[in-house]
Amino acid sequence: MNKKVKTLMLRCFVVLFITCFCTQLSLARIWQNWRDCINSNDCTEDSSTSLLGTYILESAGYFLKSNAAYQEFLYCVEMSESKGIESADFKNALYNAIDNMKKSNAAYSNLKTASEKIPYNQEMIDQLMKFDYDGFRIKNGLNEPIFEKLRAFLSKGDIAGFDAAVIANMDAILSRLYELKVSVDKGMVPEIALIWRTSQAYTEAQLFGQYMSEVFSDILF
Amino acid sequence: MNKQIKKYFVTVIMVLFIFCICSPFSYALVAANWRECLNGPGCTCTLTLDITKSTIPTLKSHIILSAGYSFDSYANYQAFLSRVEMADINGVDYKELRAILYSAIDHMEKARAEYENVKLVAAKTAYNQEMIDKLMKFDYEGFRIQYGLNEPIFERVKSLLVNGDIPGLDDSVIANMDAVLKQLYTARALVDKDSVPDVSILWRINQSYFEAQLFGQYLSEILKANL
Repeated sequence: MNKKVKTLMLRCFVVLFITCFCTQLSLARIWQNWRDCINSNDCTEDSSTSLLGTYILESAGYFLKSNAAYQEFLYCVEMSESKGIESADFKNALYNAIDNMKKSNAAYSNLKTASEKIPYNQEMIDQLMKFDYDGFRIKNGLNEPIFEKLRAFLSKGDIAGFDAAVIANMDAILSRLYELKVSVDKGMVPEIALIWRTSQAYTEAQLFGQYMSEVFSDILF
Repeated sequence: MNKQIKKYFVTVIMVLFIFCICSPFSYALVAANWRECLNGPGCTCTLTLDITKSTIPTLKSHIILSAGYSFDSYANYQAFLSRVEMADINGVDYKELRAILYSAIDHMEKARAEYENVKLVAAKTAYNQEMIDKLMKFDYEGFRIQYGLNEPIFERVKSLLVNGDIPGLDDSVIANMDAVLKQLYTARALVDKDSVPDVSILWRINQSYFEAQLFGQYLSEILKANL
């Protein structure tokens, strides 16, 4: 084998290795991710290796599971007119939504507590305060009212306020889920207005967290 | 018993009777529902609908099925995201990811097909002019503020309803589903190759679901307010 071929093979191997390695690390981070970057010395692309990162992954995973269960609940509600009330299905879906939301809330509360003991990463906060929010929103076609809520915290570097808002969003959803549970436990389909407001609370809370990940991702990578 | 008490009892019984008759049919309908009210006199507290037994396809049955499949698809997609999110902790099971994503696609395709049926049936039924007139005079701004509805999405629904543009409304519902489907197909191509789609693709799909769901929900909310 001559030198040229050897060099080419080596290069191919290095490129393949980097591609495979990066693919593993670039697994999607969908919701609230890279929040750990606000606290110094705790910002790695592989969030699973950091304490804050683990809490975020857990919180996000449970949140998404809760929303999945709530969508199943909506399916049961929608089909109740034709199939009647399948009490077990209704209950399972709603109980699942509540259980996962409680776990998500607990994981994020752990994150908040842990985060308070670690100093903020001032460099990251400075970048957040200088970030071109309007340009980013327009470029990516993000929903303005939800993005503006997020911007109000990040553009001021108000991380404690942001964390409190995430927990408040979850509390609001939980409170509505408990209201729904009262009707479901009685074998009744809850008031449609309450179902709509819960649905909106889920979707808005989810996009709030997603946009946060999007902004952080843009700054970091 | 004097006449007044008798009259009182009769009134109470009648109210209870009407309540009992109507309540099983006032079950919550979450998305795009009461769309049938825009065509003909098909939107009342009737006792006719059982879509599992009926052989006559109705606007309402297609709407319910379309909404149901749509929720199923969104549920699948949330489950997909959850698996992706937890992949750092639990590892990636591509077989499972594929099954969930295929299910999301299958349900969205069914939701779309059912809404195409809505369009077909609606095209053969005269519009309910009274309802359309109400929608053209409706206080949209007040309604949006009262319920804290998301402005950009609400404005899209309003722009169609305020002009009585029902075909435009139906087209928008289908366009929303098409947008979701198109992105799901992109994700599927990657998952088929045992690759997790880039997070930016997943974010945009999620936003498309969000927009499609709230669009349908706001339509239901406005129609219900006008009944």
